[in-house]
Amino acid sequence: MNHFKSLWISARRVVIGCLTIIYSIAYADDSWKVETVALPAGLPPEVGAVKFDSEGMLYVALRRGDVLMAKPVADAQKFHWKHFASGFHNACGMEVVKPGHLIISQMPELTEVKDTDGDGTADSYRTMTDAWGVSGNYHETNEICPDGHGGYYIAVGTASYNGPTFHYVRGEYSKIGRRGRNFSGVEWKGWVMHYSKDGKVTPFASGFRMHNGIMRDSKGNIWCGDNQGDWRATTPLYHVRKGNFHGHPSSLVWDPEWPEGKDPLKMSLKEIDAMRTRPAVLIPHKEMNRSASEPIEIPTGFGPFAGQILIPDNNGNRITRVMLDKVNGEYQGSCTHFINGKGLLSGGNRVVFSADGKTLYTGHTVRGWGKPAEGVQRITWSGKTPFDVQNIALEKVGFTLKFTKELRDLATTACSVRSFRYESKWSYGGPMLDQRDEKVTLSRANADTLKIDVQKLEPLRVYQITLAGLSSREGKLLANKVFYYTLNQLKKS
Amino acid sequence: MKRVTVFFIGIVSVLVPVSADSVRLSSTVLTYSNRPLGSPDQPLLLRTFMPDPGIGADVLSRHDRSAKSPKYNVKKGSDASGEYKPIGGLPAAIGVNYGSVLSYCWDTVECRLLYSWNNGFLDMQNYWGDTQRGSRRSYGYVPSLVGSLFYKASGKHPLQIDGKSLSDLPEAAKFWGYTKSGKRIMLKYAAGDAEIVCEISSGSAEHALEIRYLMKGKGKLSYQVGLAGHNVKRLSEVELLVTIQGSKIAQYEGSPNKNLLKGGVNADSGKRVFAAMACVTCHSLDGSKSHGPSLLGVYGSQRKIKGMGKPVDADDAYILESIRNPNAKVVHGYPENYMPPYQLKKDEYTALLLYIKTLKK
Repeated sequence: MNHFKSLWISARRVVIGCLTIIYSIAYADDSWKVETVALPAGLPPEVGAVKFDSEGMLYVALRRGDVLMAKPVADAQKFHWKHFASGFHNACGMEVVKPGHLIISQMPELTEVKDTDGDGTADSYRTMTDAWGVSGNYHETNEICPDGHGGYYIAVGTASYNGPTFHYVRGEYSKIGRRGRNFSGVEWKGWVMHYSKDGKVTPFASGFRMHNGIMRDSKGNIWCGDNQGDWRATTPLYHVRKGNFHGHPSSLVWDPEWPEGKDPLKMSLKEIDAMRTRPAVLIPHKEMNRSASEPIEIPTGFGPFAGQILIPDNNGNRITRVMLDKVNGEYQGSCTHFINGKGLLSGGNRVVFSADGKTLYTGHTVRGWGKPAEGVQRITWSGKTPFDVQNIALEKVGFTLKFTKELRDLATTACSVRSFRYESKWSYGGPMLDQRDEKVTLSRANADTLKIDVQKLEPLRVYQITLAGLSSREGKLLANKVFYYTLNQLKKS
Repeated sequence: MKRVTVFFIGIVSVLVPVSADSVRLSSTVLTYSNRPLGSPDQPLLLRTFMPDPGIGADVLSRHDRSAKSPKYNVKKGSDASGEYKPIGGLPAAIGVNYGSVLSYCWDTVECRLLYSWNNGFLDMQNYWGDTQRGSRRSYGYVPSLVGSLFYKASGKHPLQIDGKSLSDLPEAAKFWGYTKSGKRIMLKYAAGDAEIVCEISSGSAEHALEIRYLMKGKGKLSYQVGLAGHNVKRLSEVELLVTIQGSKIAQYEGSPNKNLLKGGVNADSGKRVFAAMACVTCHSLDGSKSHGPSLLGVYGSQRKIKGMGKPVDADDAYILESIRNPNAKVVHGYPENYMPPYQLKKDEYTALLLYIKTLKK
């Protein structure tokens, strides 16, 4: 009797176990599987950075200071973690030179970390540069990406008025730079710096608030996101080029050309607006992404969107997909959800693809915004193509939308387009201004492409395109129905 | 390398047993405990904002001074009445802990030892937040000191090249980084045309420490004469051994705890003290071995003590002594000088004892 009872309990455990597994492998429209990767119990999994080495070892930097490593295995619960390095102050940027040799950006410096004796643990921690100041403010986080020539770009975040500065700071202090909501009280806060292969550090671009994530794409372009906030009416994606100013004024005090004593916060909005480089893509923060973290280019092997950019939301359980459109030689483009919910954690901070491009590893951390959402997850392409918008291109009179699959007839399809603009100023985030419904004509360009003619296109506006009742030829419903196109320029030819 | 299976907690009061295929990590990996510790054999090096126990402007000469700043009205985008005031803290220093024996704060800007203490390290709650609140949010951001401060730097950099203090060199010393080898941490920096390696360890007496300086490159290395408590021994033209005998300057207890004894002095409030002090980082509740002995069934058991022939009864007096002065009796199989003495309120000791008494096998 007891024997049967225990068998029954075992069977029940198996069933519950299977159900748990099925539940934890939530499919995003059957195309991508989201799994949580177990880190060692008892370690606060505040993930500052994730990267792979050439042998497939995954390194995870935790913000309290440790770097763990493990080779991914099929069972996400069974990674065999080892302790590789320790002692970093808020390690939020990481690149791998080769196995056992990392570059880590932390609060006070860029550090070269090496396991010189090959025992599997780092023993050499060399300061590559400490060319920026440290004010004692918690918000001054750094991130890095390679420059493609053996050097790095370093995104140096500003301080927040939610925290103090210290009496004694590292580097020169600026009373003017200290003013404002997010501020630049010491050198290079709000800049992208360039660290060249020979160790020379030069300022590259200014005007950032918290560009928590910087990426070099396969064409060599540098991209930074930011968090909606002061001087960011919504979450932006910037195409970063040398010498440009990106709209957050405080960093200007460190520009070598800046007039002595001039207070950037006392400039008129018009003056600042004329100076700034606009975001290539504006990402509505409530609808899409409240806090852009590390952008990443999609490789082949991850589905139909190779070459496009994914951006995790540090303040939402979603990842944004960006479809760039080069118009008159400049990038602008559109965004929609890649994953929204589906078991994805909030606090998306850093992302890295496995070498085969099939799996995206995501590192999560939130400090200070509500409950912690943290840990490591992975998203794997199932091989099933979703029915979604593949790409949006601006035309002279509207947009063309190419889909991942051929379309059924448009008898039940409705399309609406609404446009609005944002204003960049000191207040934290901003509303969609001058909203207006556009007159549109929908037609079919070919089997997998829609043409949306908009009666009056105007630059410096965002166009929200909403589709309803559209299905693929095989009867699949559209995965995403809302898209935002940032129209900086009209098409000239 | 010594490997210790580390037992952890999810949210401080919940003990998560480690399964058979649990991960083995080094003992210095940082956990939810806000009072991380190294040991004499495995030091813990933390880069974090470091507390400033009143280091003078003469010592921090390569730092810049910040200032009060007008409050900012974030809605109007203009200055408001009132000022933000800077707070104390060291922005780019390193904290190192060797268990209860030695902690020191070495600064990467001044390239020198700033202060040293023992019987504790740092309370990280201000920076890492209160683990019991779920949200690890905090506004202070500067950890608090725990233990007895016994040395504080003053004056110019005591190290001299060709008779000139590093503070008087035209260019500030430049931090290179550090290397680790076993328990040794070698801090390196460039000064003038020389490279200097500095290694700090505990001295043979209490409140004493030793600093070994090794120089490569041009110039003659010397140390400022006449500093109280300093004994300088020249090991070679390029190597100095400086022994500093300090004395207790101040006692620090970390962040003030909330009233843990709400509801009286009993086993329940003792459990809160246990959680607040993060005792579970080293003392398991399920009989498993960790940095220190498990507390399951400890009360009333016979303890084998290092250097004592007969076992000792773990009675009230034994448990209390083990918290107040943990190195008086060290159980066989555990390191000496690992656990720092904990300074609690009298009733907190009593409550903790009452809680430990409930942990029966």
